Amino acid sequence: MNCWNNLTIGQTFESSRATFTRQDIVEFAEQFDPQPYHLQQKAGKESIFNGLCASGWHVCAVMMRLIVDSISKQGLHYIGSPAVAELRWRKPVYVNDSVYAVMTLDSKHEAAEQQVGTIEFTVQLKNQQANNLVEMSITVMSNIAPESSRHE
Amino acid sequence: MSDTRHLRDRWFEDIPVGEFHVFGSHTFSSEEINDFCQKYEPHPNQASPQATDSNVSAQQFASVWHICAVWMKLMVTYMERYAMGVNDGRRNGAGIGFKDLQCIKPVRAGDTLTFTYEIVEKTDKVIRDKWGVIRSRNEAFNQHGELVFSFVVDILAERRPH
Repeated sequence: MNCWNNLTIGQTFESSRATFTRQDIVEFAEQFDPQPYHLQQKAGKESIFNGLCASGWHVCAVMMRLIVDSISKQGLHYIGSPAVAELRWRKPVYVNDSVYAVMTLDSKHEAAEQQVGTIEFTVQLKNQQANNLVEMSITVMSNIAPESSRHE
Repeated sequence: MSDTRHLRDRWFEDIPVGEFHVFGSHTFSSEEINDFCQKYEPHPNQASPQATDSNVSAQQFASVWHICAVWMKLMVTYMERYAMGVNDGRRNGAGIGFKDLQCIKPVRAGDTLTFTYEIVEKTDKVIRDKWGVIRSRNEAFNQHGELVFSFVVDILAERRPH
């Protein structure tokens, strides 16, 4: 079976879930985005977000992990993501929110001589209430050969 | 120089299109690239203990989100330095989204990126009666002066109260 050939335009994938603990949120913020509303409950409450919430970049990083895991589950060999055409942060991610990604395959192209394929996905990240948190158009590269023939 | 000393100590109306800043530089170590990738963007090639430098596809490169996170850290540090003592919303403009994010060249261990920021547009949008949108083009150059990464981000700035 060739996993690449099985990919169909318009096909959707739903990822597994990831939960943001207070410790996850604060640790990422301390390292990369040390703004008060990502570090302290009170400052979060007083901010535009109305609560302690994860850095938007933390949300992106976790979303990427969900996407990579979903791609791997399809039998594809993830290589990297060279471009994000657009991304909107619609709603914050609060402590203990559980999120998942819904990916819709918009297009796929292959450079057969290099055994590399390029996929464009529209991705929606949703929380436990199925609210849209993030919307994104991303380009993902994967190996087009089936897993089995790569490890001969 | 009073113009540039208090970057976020200004209302939306007072921030000029064309303003340019250099947020600073960061050298990506092998360890931090690996840590970030293992947690958020595992590449089967990179995770393989058999990976060697002679195998080009196995060379590690930084996650795009790692580069974004480092950009954020440098921006926050830069802005904080210039906005001491500003306790209202003006210093804490949240990002609402971005477009045209491109990794032009891979960022590998030992690369030093320098991040630049230029305000390219102030949109007419008013958000929750209080916030305006500042659009900036952000670029990162490596130690050879090559453009390796760019994106255009929308960040809120508080409008002058009427």
